Order: sequence, then C-alpha cells, then structure tokens
Amino acid sequence: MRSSFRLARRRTLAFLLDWLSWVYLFYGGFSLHYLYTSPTLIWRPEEKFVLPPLDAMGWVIAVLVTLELAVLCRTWGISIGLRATGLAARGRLDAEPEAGGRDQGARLGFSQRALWFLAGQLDLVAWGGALGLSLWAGATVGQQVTGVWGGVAGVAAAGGLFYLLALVSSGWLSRGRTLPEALSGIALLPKGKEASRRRTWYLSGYGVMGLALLGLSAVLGWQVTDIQLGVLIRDVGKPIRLWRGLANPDFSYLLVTHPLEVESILAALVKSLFMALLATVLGAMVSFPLAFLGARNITAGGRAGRIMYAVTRGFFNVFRSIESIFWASIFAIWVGFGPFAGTIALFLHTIAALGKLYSEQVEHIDPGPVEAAIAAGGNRLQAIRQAVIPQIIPPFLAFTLYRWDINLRMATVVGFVGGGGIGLLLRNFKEGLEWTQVGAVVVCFAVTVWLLDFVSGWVRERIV
Amino acid sequence: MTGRPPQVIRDLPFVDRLQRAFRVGLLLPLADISALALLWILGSLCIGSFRYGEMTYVLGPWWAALIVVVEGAVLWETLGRSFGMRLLGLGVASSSSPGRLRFWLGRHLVVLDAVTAVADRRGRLPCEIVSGLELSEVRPEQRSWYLTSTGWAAALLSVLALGAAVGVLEVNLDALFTRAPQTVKYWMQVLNPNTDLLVLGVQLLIETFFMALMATLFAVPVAALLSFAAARNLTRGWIGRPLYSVVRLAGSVTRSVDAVIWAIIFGVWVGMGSFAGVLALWVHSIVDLLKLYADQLESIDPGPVEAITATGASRMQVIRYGVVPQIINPYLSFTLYRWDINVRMATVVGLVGGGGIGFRLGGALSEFSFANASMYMILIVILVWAIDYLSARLRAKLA
Repeated sequence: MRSSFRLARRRTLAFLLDWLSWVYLFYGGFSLHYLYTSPTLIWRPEEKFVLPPLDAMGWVIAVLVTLELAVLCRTWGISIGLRATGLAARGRLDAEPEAGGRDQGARLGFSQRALWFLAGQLDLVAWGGALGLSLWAGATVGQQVTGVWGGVAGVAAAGGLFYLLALVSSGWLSRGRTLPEALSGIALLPKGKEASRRRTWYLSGYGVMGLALLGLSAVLGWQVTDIQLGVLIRDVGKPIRLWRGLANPDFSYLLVTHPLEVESILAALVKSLFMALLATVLGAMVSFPLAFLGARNITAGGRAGRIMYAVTRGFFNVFRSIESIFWASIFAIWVGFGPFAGTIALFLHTIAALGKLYSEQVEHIDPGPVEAAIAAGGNRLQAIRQAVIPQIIPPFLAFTLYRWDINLRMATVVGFVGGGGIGLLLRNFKEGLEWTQVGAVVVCFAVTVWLLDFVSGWVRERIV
Repeated sequence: MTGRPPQVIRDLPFVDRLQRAFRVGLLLPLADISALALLWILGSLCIGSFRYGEMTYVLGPWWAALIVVVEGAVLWETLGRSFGMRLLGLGVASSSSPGRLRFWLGRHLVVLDAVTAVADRRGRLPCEIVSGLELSEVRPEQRSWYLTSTGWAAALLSVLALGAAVGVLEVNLDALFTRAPQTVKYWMQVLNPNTDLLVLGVQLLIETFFMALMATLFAVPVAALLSFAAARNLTRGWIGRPLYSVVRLAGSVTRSVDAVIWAIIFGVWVGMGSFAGVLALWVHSIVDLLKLYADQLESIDPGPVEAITATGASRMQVIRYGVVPQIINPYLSFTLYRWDINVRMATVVGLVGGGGIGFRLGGALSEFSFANASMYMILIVILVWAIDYLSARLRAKLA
C-alpha cells in the first residue's frame, strides 16, 4: 500500500509536470500573441488581466490538447516529468532488469509505444474528468462558505480532490497497476541503477522542452518587465544631476547635522551598524536553541519530536519570507519611528534566517561523537553539550558574522520605511533631490559595507 | 652541534628587515591602538548615551583620549601578550623586570621605531635594543580565553558594544510592553487581508517573478565570461595579471553598492518601473555571481587542465575540455541560488521604485493600510517559499 502510494505519487508528479509545462507553453504563447497584437504592447496589471480570449468550449479544448500533448511526450520519452521523477517506461513482463543489463525501456518498439499511446487516452479522459469534477466541487464548496475563506476553501477542495483522483488513476489503490498498463503491457516504473543511454542533453527530449520553456520565459519576461534597451541608451544623460552628484559627493554633512535632518551621516551610519549588530546578536541568541528543535537528527524519535521539528521549520520558512519592511512598519507604530523599530524588524527576520542556516548545520554534523556520547551513558542534553556543540561553533560564528553583513545592507531598506539610520537619511536626500548629499551617503555606506565584508570574510576564513 | 645556541647573532637581509619593520613597527602598534581606541569609543558612546542622551564618540578632550590609548597599548605590550601580538603570533621570550622597564621606555621612541628596524643589522626595534628582549614568533598557546588579557578585552568589547547599541538605538522596552494595545487595530487588519486585491496581486507577483528571472538570466552570461578574467589560476602574463586585478577590484567596489542604491539610480535613469528593478538586480547579480563563479574557478582541480595542455591543445580547447566540465554543476547551483535571492530582493528593490509587488507593498505600508499590505505579503510569502523550495530541491539534485 505504502509503496504503491509512493509510485502513484511519482507518476502523478511526472504527469503533472508535463501537463503544466504544456499549459505554460500554450498560455504563454497565447499571451505573447495577445501582447504583440494589442495596441499598447505593455503589461499593465491595473487595466487588464492577460487571459486568452477563449469561450468555455475553447477552454475545454485547450485543456484536452495540452493533456494530449503530455501523453504524447510521455509515450515517446521526451518528458521533463519522467526525467525529474526518475521514472521510465518498461515492458511489464521484464519489469526487473537483469543484472548489468540495459534498461528495458530503451528497447520498446514503435508498435508497443503506439499501443501505449492509445491506452494512454484513458489517462487523458481520467485527468480531464478529474479536473472538471474537482473544479465543480471547488466552486460548490466556495459558494457554501461565505467571505474571505470561501475562495481558500474552494481552491483547497478543488486541489485536494484533483490530487486524490490523479493518485487513484495512477494506481494508488490498485497496487500500482493502472488500466493503460493492463491494456498495453507497459508501465512507468522507477529507473534501474544501471547507466541509461546518455545523449547530449540539448538533443534529448527534456532538454528541448526545457530550452523551449526557458526561451518562452525570456520572451514573456521581456514583455512583462517592459524592457526597453533603447530607453536605457537614449536616456543615459537624463540623470545628469545624479551622475554629477555621485561623482562629486559633498561630505560637508559627514560630521555636522544637515539643517533639515536629525543626524549627521556618520551618526546615521553608526546607528545602522549598531542596528545590524544588536539584531544579529539577539537573533543569534534566540535562534541558537531553536536550531536544535529544527534539526531532523536531534528531534528524531518520537511523535513529539517530529511535531516540534515541523513547527520550528515552518516558523523559520514563513518568517524568513516575510519582509523586514513589513515588521518595520508595524513596529514603527508600536514603539515609535526610529532605530529601535528597525532593530526589532531586523531581529525578527534574523531569527528565522539564522535558525534555518543553524539547523541545517546541525543536521550535517558527524554522528560519530554523538553515538559515542550516548554509548558512554550520556543523556540527550549531555550528548548535545559534549558532542554536537563543539562541532557547530565555528560554522555558527561564520554564519552570524555573515548575517551581520546582510543585516547592515538590510538596515538601509528598513530605514526607508521608518527604521531610522542611514536609510532614512538616504531617502530624505533622494526625495529632496540633493544628489551631492546622496553621493556622500552612497560612498560612506559602500565603504562601510566593503570594510565589514572584508573583515568578516577574513575572520570567517580563519575560524572555519 | 645539538640544538641552537640561545644567543645567536643573525644578520637579517634588507628585505626581511623591511618586512619586520612593517610587522612589528607598524602593524603591531596599529592593531593594539585600534583595539583600545575602539574600546574607548564604545565606552564613550555608552556613557554619553546613557548619561547625557547624545552620541559622543570621544568623551573628554581628544588629546587625553589619545594619550591614554597609546600609552595603554604600550603598557599592554610590555606587561602581557597584547591583542596585536596574538594576531601576529608574536611574543616576548624572557621576562625580567628591569628588561621590561627598559622595553617600556624604549617603546616610547616611536619616531625611531620603524627606522631602526630597517637600519639595525638584526632588524631590531629601539625597545628591543635597549632591553635585550626580543619580539619573536611563538607557538600559539592553549589557554582558556578567560585567562588571557585579550580574552578579557574581547569580553569587555562585547559588553560595551551591546551597551552602546542599546544606548544609541534608544531602545525603549517600556514602549514595547506598554504600547501594544495601540497596534491591535493594525493586527486585526493584518489578519483580514483585502481579498479584492487578489487578482491584481497575482499579476504583480508574476511581474516580480519575471523581474528576478530576467535579471538572473541576463547576469549569467556576463558573469560567466568575466569570471575567467577574475580567476587567479587562469590569468597569467602581463595582460592577465592586471586584468585580474582590475576585474576583481571593480567587482568588489560594485558589490558594496547595494541593490537598493542601484534601483534608485536606474529609477531616475529609465524611469520607475519593473525595468529599473531588473537593471538594479542585474548589476547586483553580475557582481555577486562573478565572485562566486571566480572563487569556484580558482578551486578547480589542475590535473585535467595540465593533462589536456600536455596533449598540445589550444587554450580554448583546454578551457572547453579541462575547465568547463568541472564548473558546470557548481555554476548552475550558484545560479539557482542567486535566482532564489533575486526573487526575495525583487520585492525590496520594488519598494524604492523598481515596480512589481514590492512597490505596491511599500505604498500600502506608507499609508498604513495593513489589510492591503497583508494581502501582498501573503502572496510574497507563497512565491518566495515556493521558489526557495524549488531552488533547494534542484540544487540538491545538482550536488
């Protein structure tokens, strides 16, 4: 049961990847066509959503065509999904390749593949049906629940149902056997360990598909991000005052406070340095104990440990993705505008970022000393103290120094939204169009960052 | 002859004397004086901010601080093993009190310090000449940190640094614990994201995603080409060496200018919008990837390169068959890593005029409309998390 679930999951993932690639190619191509033929040629999210103008029947046909293409890809082995999941088509009768023999998948003849393709139409029907059914179910659920959570519940219901149906059609409940397999005698099974035929990657099917996806993304991205090289070259003289200011930085407010500002450049720089320092030190203190809870090898054994692991890692992942400017705004209201708010924002981000790095480091320790400590009769805490901590101190220090570096850079951004320090000064000078002052701030900040980078790089080299 | 006689008179060659003058005459006092000066500045910041409520870098008259710091450094070097001596691996072998006294007095001949080291045949400093003691290389000793003066100084430095940080940053724990109620309103908004912005947010998210993608895509060829000029082991000869130095220096300087500052520059240049964001991320990605790539190139195995060179292959062939196979996977891995970072930074760059979802997030935050900001933030978290996961999975496959 368990192994058939795993196999079904891999098959589902493979087919989903193929299908989504084709959907992306189809949808991206259509969007491009739309962008090139529309009069504006510019991606304007506020005005319209670039959806291919298809009617309901058109959408059904589009889905069926993409599914058909996915089946076709799978049949002739030019599939990204199969490559990513490590599956290969095998004749069922010789599913176990003889030792040292070549992969049977390579020997499938044309007629066998054609039969499999015809049988694969059943998969197409199953997936199309599953998609329709789950969309209907999602819409029904979404209408039942009111308010914000309606959409969430609808999407969750549709996605969950679709995934379950896809798993069933990939042989979850039928011991890994599917209807197309029974009809054609070919099954998707994990690739053997033996070396498969190696072809230059750009001649292989997945290579071509990957290049097509990348190429389409590049062209789409060019449109979406509104790249205009002409403007870049033509307007090189437009920021002439900015260039002059950056070339002639005015350091007269390095030590003296500018009449419109609260502090001098040096004072702001020192504040930013201290913001980064305090956030890093406090963040490291908090994330140090958390790192052990987020390490798989420490929490192994027992349900409580595993829950602890999942909760800690989830916390790290979510908080690492939340921008510190978001926290800075909230804490600017809470404790007032100024460097303290910025410090708390950086601190919250540092906990999660350092916690993840730390716990990955704990997972990569050498288990030998730990086993020795346990064998000598030590309990778990003693093992951590005597066998784990000595192994992780140097990398932890290196990560912490590195974090100080990053925090100093982030302190500017945080300063922009009320965190104080050099970022606030930079924003005010920029908005006042005082480019010579901006130049001075940029030079001072770059020198500080460079120095800190140099020193921390030197120290890191010594301790690791 | 067994062992070395204790007093051997060795003449040092001129170059060695110059080097010794630089190390012992210049670096050593510089290290000690900077360490003590840092202590003094941090102490002043502490006292100044806690006592007088202002940032004071040097408490008291500057000349007094200078005398205390310099004299302190000299005393430290005379009486124990100072920070600078530890850093340079130096020590004083014997310790007789009159010798130490003469050493201390001799250390005050500051002007003559480096000059005598070059002029003296054995490269000694004046204090070494008058005291007969010698600052020589010693083996690093294994002592717990709390038994050394440097350890105590480092501990004091940490305490003072944290104290100064608390003082300078106006840390207000009172506000943190008493003013929470006034943020309740905003927390409620955060918990009720404005779902009307969902479609717009997803579109902006797509824009942000493509910003990161385009920046990474265009940075890779530039950085990959430049990395061959920035690898020490591949740049030889009178063209290669200066090229190496120039590329490395330019990269280092450009890397210190933050992506946010590039976004400001390009925002003025090409106008605010996602194009400016792409350019800012592009410049920053180039220099960041350049360093990662070049460091990787410097650590390749020279074996295959030599083997292929020995067969009489041209320079291009050596690179194609000897170097590229060794670096292709690390390069891909670094690129994926950079893509992951660019997705994060695309939102930050957007904040200062780079377009995408970051711009809207910044706008929402500056208006304190946290319902909108929360919607954008949720979308950003989903995107960042997904890309992070994808990039980590792909990198694990490449490794």
